[in-house]
This record gives sequence, C-alpha cells and structure tokens, in this order.
Amino acid sequence: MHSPIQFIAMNTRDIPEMPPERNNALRAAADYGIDVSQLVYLLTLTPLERLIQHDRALELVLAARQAGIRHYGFDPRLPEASERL
Amino acid sequence: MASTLDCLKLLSAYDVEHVVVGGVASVLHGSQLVAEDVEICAPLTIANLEKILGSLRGRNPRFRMSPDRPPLPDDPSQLVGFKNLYLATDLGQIDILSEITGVGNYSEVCKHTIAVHLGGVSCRVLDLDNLIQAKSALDSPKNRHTVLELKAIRERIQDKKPSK
Repeated sequence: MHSPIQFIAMNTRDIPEMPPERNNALRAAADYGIDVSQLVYLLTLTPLERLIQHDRALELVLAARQAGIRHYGFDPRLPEASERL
Repeated sequence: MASTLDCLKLLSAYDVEHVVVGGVASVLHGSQLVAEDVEICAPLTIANLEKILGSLRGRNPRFRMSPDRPPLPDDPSQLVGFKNLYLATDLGQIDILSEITGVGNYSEVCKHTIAVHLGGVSCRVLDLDNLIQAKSALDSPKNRHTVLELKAIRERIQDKKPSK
C-alpha cells in the first residue's frame, strides 16, 4: 500500500517520453485529457490492489454525493434539480 | 459501505455463474474510472437465479429502475423471462445482464474471459479486447472515454511484452 505522499508523487510524475511512431493509443488518451501517468501507475498494481483503490474512490464519491444532497436539500443530479439551482 | 470486492466475493461464495463486465472489468484491467454499479453477465436460468437470490438474501435487493423500488421476489421462477436485472442492494448497485452489446449472449461472453484472482477468490472477467468491443458498441461520452483508456492500457501491455 502506498502512503499519500508516494501516491501524489506517482500522480504528478511526468508522462514517459512517447516516440511518435508508437504509443498512438497512449497519445490519443493523453490528448483527450486522460491522466496517462495514472494509467501507467495502475498497471503496476495487481487487480486486487486496483479494486481496493477503486473502492476507496467510490466511498469518496458516495460521501461527496450525500454531502451535496445535505447541502441543497435535494439531489442536484436529478434532471428537475437544474430548475431549483 | 460500498465494496465491489465484497460483492464479487459474495457472488463467488454462492457459486453464481457469471462474468464480470462493464466498469468493474475496466477497473480490473487498469482503468481509473469509478464504477458505481457491479455489472455481470449471467444466465438467467432458474438454477442460477436461485444462487443469485441466495447471495442477495438479507441484503435488501430491490428493482432499481422501478420508481417504487419493489423488493426482489424470493421465488426464482418469477424472474425467468427477464433480460436484465438492475438491482439496488445494501452492498451497492448490481446489474445482471443476460447479454452484452457488441459481444453476445452469456455463452459467447464466456469464450472471451480471463481469470482474475482477488484475495482468495477467482473471478472470470471479460478480456480486454472484448471489453473494448463492448464499450465501443455503446456510443456515449463516458464509454468513449473508457475506450480510449482501455486502448491505451492494451498498447502499454503489448509494449511491455517481450518481443519474440
């Protein structure tokens, strides 16, 4: 398991040099705005470690959503919410 | 407490015949997306539905797409004929699909799986090529994003393989 500092360091490290004739898919993903360094990091983990990390992120998403509902008094993701915001 | 891992362990413990597909399969292959629902492809036969119901007993399974969210019946025969089951449970959302767009029905999906070991449990997961095919068939912004990620992952994996 990585410490938060290690994790941040991995997230912010430079994307490896990509020669133009190769890495077309990596380049397309990076051009789209996908954090390729995070993908590269995730590939160093086992599937179990990826799933554990995913579940932590999911917990955070669900907690943030509940906080939003508490703040607004309704679910701001619902289609009718745009009229109330 | 959301735990995809617990959900997958539970399905395995009850010997539910299934293949992990969708967002969780993408995560297992290395995608950074957060999947809110566990999507599996499974045969909706009486025998398998019995196992599915057994695994969800006591976990408050309900039909998620119905406005009043009725509970799942205890009798598996009442679920025969459904093509997909979109469920809300105390473990999180579980989608049980009898076929996968871009790949085919359960028996076809079974031909394109890899075994993934998750802390004492072995799961069958849709392989990367077919996951890309399935996600490409569902043309939405979220799936386009995932396809780009999965293609980058495939390229990275191929790049790391020793050349012959």
